[in-house]
Amino acid sequence: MRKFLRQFALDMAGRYKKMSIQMVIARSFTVVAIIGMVFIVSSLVLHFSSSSSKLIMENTERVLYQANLNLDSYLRRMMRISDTMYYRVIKHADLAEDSISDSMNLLYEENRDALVSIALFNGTGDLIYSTPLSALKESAAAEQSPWFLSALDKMENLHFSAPHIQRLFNHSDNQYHWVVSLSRYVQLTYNGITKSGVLLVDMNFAGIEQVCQNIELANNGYMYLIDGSGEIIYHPKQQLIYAGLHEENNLKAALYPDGTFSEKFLGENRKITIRTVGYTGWKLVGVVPNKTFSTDSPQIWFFGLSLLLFSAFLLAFVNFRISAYISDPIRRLEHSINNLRIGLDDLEIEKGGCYEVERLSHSISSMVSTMRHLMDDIIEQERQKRRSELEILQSQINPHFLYNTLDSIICMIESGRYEESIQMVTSLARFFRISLSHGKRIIPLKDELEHAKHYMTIQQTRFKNKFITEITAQPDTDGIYTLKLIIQPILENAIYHGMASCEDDGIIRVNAWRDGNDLIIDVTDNGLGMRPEVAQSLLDESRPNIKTSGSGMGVRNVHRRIQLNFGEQYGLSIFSEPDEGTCVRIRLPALDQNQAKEMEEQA
Amino acid sequence: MKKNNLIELVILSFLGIAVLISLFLPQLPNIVNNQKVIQLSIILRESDNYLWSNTRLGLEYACNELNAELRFLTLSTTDDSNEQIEIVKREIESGADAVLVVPADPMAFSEWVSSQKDICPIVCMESMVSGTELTISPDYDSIGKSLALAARHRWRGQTICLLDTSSARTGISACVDAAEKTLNEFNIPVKRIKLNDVQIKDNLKALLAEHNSSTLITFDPYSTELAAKYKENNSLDFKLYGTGVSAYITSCMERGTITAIAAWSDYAAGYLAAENAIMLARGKPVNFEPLPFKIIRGENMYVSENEKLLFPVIS
Repeated sequence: MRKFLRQFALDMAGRYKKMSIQMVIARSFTVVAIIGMVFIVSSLVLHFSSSSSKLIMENTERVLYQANLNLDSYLRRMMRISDTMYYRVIKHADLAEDSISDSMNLLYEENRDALVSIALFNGTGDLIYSTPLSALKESAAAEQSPWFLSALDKMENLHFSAPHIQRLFNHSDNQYHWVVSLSRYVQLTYNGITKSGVLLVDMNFAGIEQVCQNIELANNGYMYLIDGSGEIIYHPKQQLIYAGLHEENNLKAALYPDGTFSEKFLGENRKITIRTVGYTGWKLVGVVPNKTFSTDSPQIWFFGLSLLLFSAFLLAFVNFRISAYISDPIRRLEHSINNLRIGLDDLEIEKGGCYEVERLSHSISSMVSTMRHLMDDIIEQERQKRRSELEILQSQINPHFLYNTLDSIICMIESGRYEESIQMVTSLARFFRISLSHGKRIIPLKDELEHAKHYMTIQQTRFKNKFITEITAQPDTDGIYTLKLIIQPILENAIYHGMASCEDDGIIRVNAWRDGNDLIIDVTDNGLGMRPEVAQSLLDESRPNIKTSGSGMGVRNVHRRIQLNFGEQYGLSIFSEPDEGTCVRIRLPALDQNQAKEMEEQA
Repeated sequence: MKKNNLIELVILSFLGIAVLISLFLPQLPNIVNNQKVIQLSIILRESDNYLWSNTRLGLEYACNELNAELRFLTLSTTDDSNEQIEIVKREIESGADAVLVVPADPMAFSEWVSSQKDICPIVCMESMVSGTELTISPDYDSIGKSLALAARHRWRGQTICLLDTSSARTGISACVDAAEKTLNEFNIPVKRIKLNDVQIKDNLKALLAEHNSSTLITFDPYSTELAAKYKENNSLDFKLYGTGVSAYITSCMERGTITAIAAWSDYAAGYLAAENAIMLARGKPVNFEPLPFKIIRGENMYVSENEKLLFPVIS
């Protein structure tokens, strides 16, 4: 069980993690609301059921009490009639001389609504007086009747019979009445001699029926009346019971004492309330089915169902709206942050929803704004740093080159080689002019080539024409701009490393050409060359710097400058074979004037 | 559309549809039928309904209990089959949900019913009619047999006459047939006398004398009453066996005019007839067993159980 619960908890936690916040809120609200509803409804139903049951029982007892009073009153009226007849009339009459007929008639007339007959029999069952009929049927046999035998058996009591057909008197219209007989033993006086007799008061059963009918109990309950042996005296479905179309648990009810009991009869649970009717020993039985809701109408149930479903609909709708109200701003915020992550420009952080979410949006918005400023600052700083680096690189022109050149010029002047010295000074001047280029980084290709040419002029003079130089540019490179001072360091390397051992047959070629959108500048020499792996290692950043006697710019500096400006796909490639020479290929984007201007402005 | 929104829409649609269904469901005919007040008409075959008073009480009780309104109709002329059919037609046209009929002429009524289409449920009493849903009656074969056996019990060798007043009524003729068959099985001389109500008064004595009969069995309450009256008025001495319950019949039993009767509860017959007709009108299945009956003799009529059958508790 614990394992199952743990697994269930883990499953739920797993599902919870995969769920959207809206689903979590909606489901949680719904579950909590349903649990709450079930709890409230259950407690209400229990409370209602308990109160209703108690109320029904109280109501049943009250109704039965009232019915008992009415019935008791009715029976006491009958007993009073019997008492009056006996104590006021019969006791005071000597039947040998006096007639009690008038008194009996008077009493009957006064109570004819409740009576069928009053009759006086002697101890052998012979009729002495009766009203309203006086002719006994041949088959009457009063002395054998249960009421007669009971009266003689227990002389001190009044005896109420079960309902039966009164069959004593001849009716001219063949009428038969259901009656309840009240009989008692009486003492009759004949010439002063006391004899036994029986006084019979036949109550119309309809009187009892009137007392008992129209009594309705809660929950479609009903009340019936039985005698001490369980024989039904009155039942609202009496005729159906007699016809065998309905059953009642009357025999068992006769065994119950007064009070309320639960029983199951014909598959129905019901509450039985018993109240004994004082003198007679009869019992009033209240029957209330154990149904909380007494309606049989399906409309009521459908109405309840509709109400329940509509509540669920409303609850679900409200839950979905509330969860959407809470989660939608969060989702939009998440979407904004996702966009921020993938780097969309002009990003607007969503602001809305609850106070907390709005605050969070504000905070994120503020954070994004700060981050952007910081990024701009970083970019600016990076740009400044790169510029400084470039400037540093550009400023790394070896001052020895200048001293050596000037020394060479002095020597030329001293040896009277004025023309050469003039040319050298002119080239040096032009070299520095192009080097400066008004502080621009990007210059036309022809200026860069000219710069290279002047440099080579100076070097050729210094190296006494140990090598020759060929600088060419293909026609499709006209108007192309390039980063400045990128050829001179390559030429410097070619001179110091390639041409060092040459004997007037060195050739250094510079050729500029276009490869699609790229500009290629090949610097080729026929010097010593080197092994390809050595050539490849020249651009390796981890390789230690090699101090040269050249301008000091170095091949790696050129390579780094190009990549810093134009990206990784550009830069130098070195191809070399020992004793074959070396080719350094510079690859640059072929910039036109506008692009060069833009780059210059960005820098 | 996002997955969450789709789920929400599905749940709300489901609940919305459930609300609508729960609102419209009570309007469905089957459910409305259960609550509707059923218009129930009963058309007797007689012009006088005094022998049907107990039946009527049972009908009224069932209608009250099962939410129905009862129209109790008699013919202007007893056993006028045409008039009865016309009244049934009129009742159906005026919106009766079910009709109870005590057919005056079962054959004619059966023909008419067969020619009708889409009519309300028709339940018969007393005589079985083909084409109708149900017949509420005791088992007439058993009644005939039981009366024959009761008569045989006190038979002293003379012919037993069977008063056949059935005319076209199948229930009563079945009863007579069963009695005749039973007596024949015991080799008791039996004579079937066909008389109408008027002929009973005029010819009964002569016919009994003609057939040397001291026992007469009647098979419907009215002819039982007529025969009893005739016997009392003319101080005749023959044993009379009959059927039905009425104050006069019971008083005759008490006086010894009628020896025994086959009695069943007219109240129960009325109740069951109405109950079954209402159930049929509501489209519910019905299951009916023939009404139970008892042979009650004069000497045991005041036994408690017999008392309840002979004297309905009716205020």
